[in-house]
Amino acid sequence: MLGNLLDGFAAVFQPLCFGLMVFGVAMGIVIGALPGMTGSMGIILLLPLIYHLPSDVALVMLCGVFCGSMYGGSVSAILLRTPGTPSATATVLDGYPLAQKGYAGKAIGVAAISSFAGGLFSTLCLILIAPELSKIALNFHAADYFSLSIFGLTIMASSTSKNMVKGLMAGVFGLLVSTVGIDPIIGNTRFTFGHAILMNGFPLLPVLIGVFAISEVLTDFLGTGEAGTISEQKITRLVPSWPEISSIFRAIAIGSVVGVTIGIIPGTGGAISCFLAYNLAQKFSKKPEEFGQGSLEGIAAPESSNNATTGGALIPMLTLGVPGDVITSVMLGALVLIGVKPGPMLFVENAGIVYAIFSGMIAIQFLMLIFGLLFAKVAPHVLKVPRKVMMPVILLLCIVGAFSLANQLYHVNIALAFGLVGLFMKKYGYPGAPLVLGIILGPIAEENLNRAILLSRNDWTVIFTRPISLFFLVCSAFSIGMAMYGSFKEYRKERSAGT
Amino acid sequence: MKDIKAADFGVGLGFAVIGAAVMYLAADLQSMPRGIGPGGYPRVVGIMMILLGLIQVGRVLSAGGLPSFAFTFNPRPVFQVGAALAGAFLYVYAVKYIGFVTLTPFLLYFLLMLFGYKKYLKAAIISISVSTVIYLVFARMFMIFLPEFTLF
Repeated sequence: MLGNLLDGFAAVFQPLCFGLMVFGVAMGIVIGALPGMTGSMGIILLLPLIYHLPSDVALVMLCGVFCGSMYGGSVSAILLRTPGTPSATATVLDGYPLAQKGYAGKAIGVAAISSFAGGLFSTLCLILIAPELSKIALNFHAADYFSLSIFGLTIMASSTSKNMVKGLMAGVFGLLVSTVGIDPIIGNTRFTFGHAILMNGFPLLPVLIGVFAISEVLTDFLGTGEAGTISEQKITRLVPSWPEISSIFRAIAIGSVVGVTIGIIPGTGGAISCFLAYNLAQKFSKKPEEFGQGSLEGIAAPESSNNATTGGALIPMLTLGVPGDVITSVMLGALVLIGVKPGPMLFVENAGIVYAIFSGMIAIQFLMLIFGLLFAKVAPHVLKVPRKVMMPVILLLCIVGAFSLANQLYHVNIALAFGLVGLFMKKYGYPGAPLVLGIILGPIAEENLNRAILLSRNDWTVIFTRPISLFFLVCSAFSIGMAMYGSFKEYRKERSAGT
Repeated sequence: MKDIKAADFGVGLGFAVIGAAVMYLAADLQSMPRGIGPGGYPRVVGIMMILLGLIQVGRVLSAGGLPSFAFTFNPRPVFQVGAALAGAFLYVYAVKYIGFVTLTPFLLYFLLMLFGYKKYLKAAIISISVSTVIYLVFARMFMIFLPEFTLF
C-alpha cells in the first residue's frame, strides 16, 4: 500500500495535476464561501473540462473542489451569518458571535485548522478502510449488485427529502430516464419514438448541469434573498495561540470521529454531522456555557466534522458505487463520465487512479489550510460580488459546458429542459439527487438484474435468497420504514396541533 | 401550500399514467426465453411508477380531500424564467451562424439585465470580458471547439 501511495504522490506532484489541484481547492473555497453556491455546482461547472484531462488529474481536481467547498462555507458563516453550504450551518452559532466581538480572523483561523485536522483524519480512514471494504465487495454476485443499487437509491431518496415518496418518485423517474436509448441486454432501441438522436439516451452531463446548476440559477427568480450584511472589519490574527489550539483538541477529535462515521453512512452528509458534533462537543466541553457566545470549540467541532465527512463519503462511493451525499453523487457521475466504473473492481482495474485520489486528498488538506488562511484576507471582497452578476455568468457557463460535451446543441437543449424539470422539482419539494442517482444506477441495476436472472435460470427468488442481496434489501426496507415512520410521526404531530 | 398539494396530486396522477404507458410500450419490446429481456426492466420501473403515483395521490386525498386548483399566479418570476430560457434557446440556435465570440456578450448582457443588474456600462464590460475569458479557456487552452461566425 505504501508503494502505491508513493506512486500516487508522484502522480499528484506532476505540474499539471498539482496546478489543477491548487485551482480546484481555491475554486472550492470561493464557491463554498458564496451563499447559494454549493460544492456540487462547482464540480458540475468543471465537468466539461475533465474529458480533456487524464482521469487521475481530473478526479484529484474535483476532490479539491469537494474539500475546499466544505471549508469555504465557514467563511461566509462567520462573516455574513449565512452559511455558504448547508454543512457550515452549525458554524454560524459560534463563528458569527466571535466575529461580532472583533475576532473574525481568529474564528476563520480555527475553522481552517479544524477543517484541516478533520479532513486529514478522514483521508487516513479512507486509505485504511476503502481497500478492505472493496475486498469484501469483490465477492458480490449480480443479484447483490442489483440489491445494492436499490439500497443506494432508497437511502438517497429517504435522506434528501422530508417526504419519502417524493424522494422515491425522483429516483424512479431517474430509472425511467435511463431506459431511453439502446438497451444494454440485446442492443434494441427503446422508447426513442423514431428519433435517432435519442438512441444514445439522455447524456449524464447535460442532465447534471440542468438539475443541479441551471435549476439553481432559475430558482433565483423565484425570490432567493441576498446574503446578509458583511461583517466590516479588517481580518487580522488568523493563527490562534497555542493555548487556544490546545483548547480545541477535544472538539476536533469529537468532530472528526463523528464526521467520518456519518460520512460513511450513505445518504447522510456534512449538514447532519456538523450539528451532531456540535452537540457532542458541548456535552463533553469544560466550558459548555460558552457555546453560542463565540466559543472556539463551537467552531472547531462542526468544522472538523463537516470536513471529516469528505473522506467518509468517498468510502462507499469508491468501493460500492453508492454515494454518501449529494456532492458524492455528482462525483460518482464524474467517474462514470470519464469511463471509470466505481465499485470493488476499481481497486483492481484502476488502482493508480484510486491511490492518486488518496495521495491527492492528503495534499489537498495541506493546500486547504494554506489557501483557507490566505482566502480569509480577501474573503470580504469576494463575498461582495452580487448574485445578480454571479448567476448570469453561471448560466452562461452551464450553456457552454453542455455544448462542449460533444459540440452538439442537442445537449444544451437537454440541459435547459432538465433545468426546468429541476426548477419544478425544487419548487415542489422533489429532491434532485435521487433523479441523478437513478440515471447512474439504472443501467447497473438492469444489467445485474438480467445477469442474476440468467444465472439462476429465470428464478426471480435469487434476489431474496442470496444473503448479501437480502441484507441490502432489508436495509432498503428499513430505511423506507424509518422514513415512513418519521413522516407518520410528523403527520400525527400536525394533526394534534390542529385539533 | 394549496399549490403544492395540487401539484403533488397532479404529479402523482401523471406518474401513475406514465407508469401505465411505460408498461404498455414495454409489452411491445422483444421478450427473451431466459433473462429479463429489453422490456423486463422498464416493466419493473412502470410498476414502481404506478405504485408511487397512487400512493402520492392517496396521501393528498387522505390529507383533506381533492385539492382545489386555485393557483396563486405571480407573473414576474414566470416571465423571468421564460425569458431566460427563451434567450438561451434562441442563443443556442443562433450561435452556430453568428459565432460564440460575437453573440455571447449579448446573451450575458441580456441575462444581467434580466437578473436586475442596472449598471449598464459595467454590465457591458462584464459581458465582453467574461465571454472573452470563457472563449480563451475553452477554445484556446482546452482546444474545445466553439462555434465561429460563418456566412454559409
